[in-house]
Amino acid sequence: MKAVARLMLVYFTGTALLRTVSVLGLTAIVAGTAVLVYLPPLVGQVGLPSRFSLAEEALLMLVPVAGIIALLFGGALMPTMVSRLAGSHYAYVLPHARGKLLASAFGTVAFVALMASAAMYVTMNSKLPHVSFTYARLLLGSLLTYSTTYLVLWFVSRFRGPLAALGGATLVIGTLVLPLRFMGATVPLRWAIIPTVALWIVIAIALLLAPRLGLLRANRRRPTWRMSAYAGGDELDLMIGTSRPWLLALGQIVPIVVAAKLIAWLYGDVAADIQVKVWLFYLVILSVLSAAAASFAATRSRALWLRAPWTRAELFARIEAAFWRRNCYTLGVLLVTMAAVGVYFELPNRALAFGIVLLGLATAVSTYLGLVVTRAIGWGVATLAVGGMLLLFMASINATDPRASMATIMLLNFTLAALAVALRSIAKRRWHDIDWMLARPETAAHAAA
Amino acid sequence: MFILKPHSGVPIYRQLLEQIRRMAASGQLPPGTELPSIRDLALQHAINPMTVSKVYSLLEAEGVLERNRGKPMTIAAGARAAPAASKRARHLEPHLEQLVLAARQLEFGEADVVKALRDHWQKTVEKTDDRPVRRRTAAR
Amino acid sequence: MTVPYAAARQLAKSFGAKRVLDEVSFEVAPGDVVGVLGKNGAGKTTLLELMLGFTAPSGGSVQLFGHDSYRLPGAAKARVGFVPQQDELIGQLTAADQIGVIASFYPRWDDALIHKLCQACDIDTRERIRAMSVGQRQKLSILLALGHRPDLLILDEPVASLDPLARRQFLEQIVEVAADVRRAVVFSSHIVSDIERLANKIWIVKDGRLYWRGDFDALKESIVRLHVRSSRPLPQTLTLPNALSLERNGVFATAVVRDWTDELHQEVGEKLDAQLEIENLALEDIFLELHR
Repeated sequence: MKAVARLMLVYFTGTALLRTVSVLGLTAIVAGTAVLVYLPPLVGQVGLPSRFSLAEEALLMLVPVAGIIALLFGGALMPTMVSRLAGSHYAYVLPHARGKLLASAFGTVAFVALMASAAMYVTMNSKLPHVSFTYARLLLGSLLTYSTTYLVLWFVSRFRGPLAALGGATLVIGTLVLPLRFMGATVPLRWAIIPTVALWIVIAIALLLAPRLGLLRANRRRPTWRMSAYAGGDELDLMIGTSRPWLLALGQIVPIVVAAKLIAWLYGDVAADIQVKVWLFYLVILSVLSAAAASFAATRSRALWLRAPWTRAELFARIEAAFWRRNCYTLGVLLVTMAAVGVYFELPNRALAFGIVLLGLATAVSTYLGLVVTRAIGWGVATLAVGGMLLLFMASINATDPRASMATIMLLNFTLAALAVALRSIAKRRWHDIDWMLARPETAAHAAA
Repeated sequence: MFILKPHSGVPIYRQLLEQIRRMAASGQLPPGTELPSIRDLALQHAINPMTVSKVYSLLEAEGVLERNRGKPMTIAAGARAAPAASKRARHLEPHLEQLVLAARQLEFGEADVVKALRDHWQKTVEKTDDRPVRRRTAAR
Repeated sequence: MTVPYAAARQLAKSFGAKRVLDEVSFEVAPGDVVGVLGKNGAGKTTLLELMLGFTAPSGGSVQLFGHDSYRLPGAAKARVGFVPQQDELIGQLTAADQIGVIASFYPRWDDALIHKLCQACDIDTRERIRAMSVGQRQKLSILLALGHRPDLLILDEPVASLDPLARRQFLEQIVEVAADVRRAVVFSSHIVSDIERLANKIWIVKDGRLYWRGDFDALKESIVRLHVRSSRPLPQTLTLPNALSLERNGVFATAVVRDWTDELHQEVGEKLDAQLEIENLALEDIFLELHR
């Protein structure tokens, strides 16, 4: 028992960043919910007078939600640690190791789910009487959602390389979107129970019976789906992973097709403009992930320093060029998809134009964000990254919205463009005196999921 | 206190055994001297405590060491007096063997060796004459 | 008679068609410090992993504390400590958190000992593991196997990445463990001099078999190098009993023989009408001679 407790504690507090995020998340959940409970009814949207404006109400309700998401990511160490420990000798040597690891994993998910569903239940019951979910429904929905989210986190952390990140992206959509379906009041509860139970049975089998199934031995070496091994091309491309760009570009098709099916199934009955929003949102995620490989450039380029005659500044220029060459392919595919979506849903040209511009900006921002990562992520870069991503997502929701004002959209796009330029100059400056001792593989980041 | 060479061909236990025997026989370790505990000696030389324990037990059986309840092992009272010249001579054997072997490899005859030994003896005795150290004189 | 801490009978392991270990039998009793020697690829790591139940034997059996290793119960696991060849620490954690996680699995954990060892080894427990050097990580890995005071400590090449000072500290730790006669240690190492200091039993693994299993002192006394100087030229077909190697040069010959006894000294001397000079070998030389 104390091992399970200790493990869970370390999952949420193991690194300074996670500790902060977890604490903030918990605080936001508890405080946000408490505040909401004691406030007068937020019924502004039902047409009755209220003390707060719609925006303020939305913000207040967002606090517990943000807290839940923060708590979720606060436990991000769990999948990494569980898989590391389970695949090590410790799994055999520590008493009842595998059972305790499994319990700690489930405990983590359950904890987050309990907090989230409690917060949601309290909020909804006190503030949104016209929306009623039973606690059981909320809890089960949360369990399913967060089980799959942690699974995705595990998946993304295990593998390195853009292809795997793309795979992760597909799953991310699934985990964010699917459970919403199940939380509809009319859907029978077993739709939430059965997948959750099945998922945990699979996880339990993988963990507990792994030695017998020979799984752990095989996983001793962490596979890296790097695409550039021994492909032809310039040494630069080989080293930093841009040597077969068409592979990545075409590789995006799979998640796009899967997403198309999913979105049609889930939202087929929903208005076209919402579907378009979902599409654009998804494509933005894809473009961000495709460009995120740039974050590996720093560590990978260390070998080039001795092999090639370039100065650090020249190295940056060439790497930047290589990534843009690669981006042309990936962006091309995404733009074509966007155009297809626009045509299919008969988007007005203006909206389509903004969508296309946005995808280009998303690629630029994330490429330069990746290039900025020449050492462990500090608070400054993290803030920029989170801010940039938020901007991107806000822009993606507004860009195709016929009701959104031109001014807002232009403002968002300009901010993004400015961000890209700023990031470029930061990256350039950092590469000017890049220190490869700091850019060790363990300290280089994967873009935060 | 002891010089142990783990990497010589001679097993560590034998090195320690013979050193203690020699030192007890020659009086370098007078009766009643306390020997380090097994653990301390093992730690000091980074050797297996069981080796030390083996040596102590063997020497206790031989009568060279005495076990005192609750206190460290000590050199036994009779350890010094007992060895007759012949027994002490045994300790000299390995050195004699080496000397003879070296001499023969260098193609010295017996007379040469004895002369060289005498010269060396004189020199050594002169050097240590002035030092206030207990001397063991040669054969009685 | 107490149950041996570890025991194997005709243990064998194959990976597919490749036979890695064959006919391995041994016992580890409390108080033993066993040094496992062998060439790379001889099967040392496989042997240790079989002992701990990481993998199932292809033939024969192996037990820890009387239990089948592959199905070792939790209570027995609390009596074993293992240090793998490469540390398996979690880079994101601080040393303190890593220690805390491992400690929480065991019913008994000696905090004072860990604290003392961290200080002695210069490990700052607030430091992140990924920021530590390889040597420090290895030292931490060794510490983690000592904290629960295991009765049986098994180490696979534990000092490969340690500097001489750290190695000496490690040796002293092993001496401390060995000083408690109810505990036993099994460790494999390339650093023969460490084994030479500490082991009282030696296992030599050669081509998947236990070439030698026994008392270390007996090994040293059994395998000697003979220097033969005969009064007449030695015959071409000169043979010596149990010779591992033999070189002839006129009246001289050098041979390394095993199972040497004092009686043989007399016999061989007479038979060859020669002077015999016995040279005891250091463990490293023994190892080299066995692999000629």
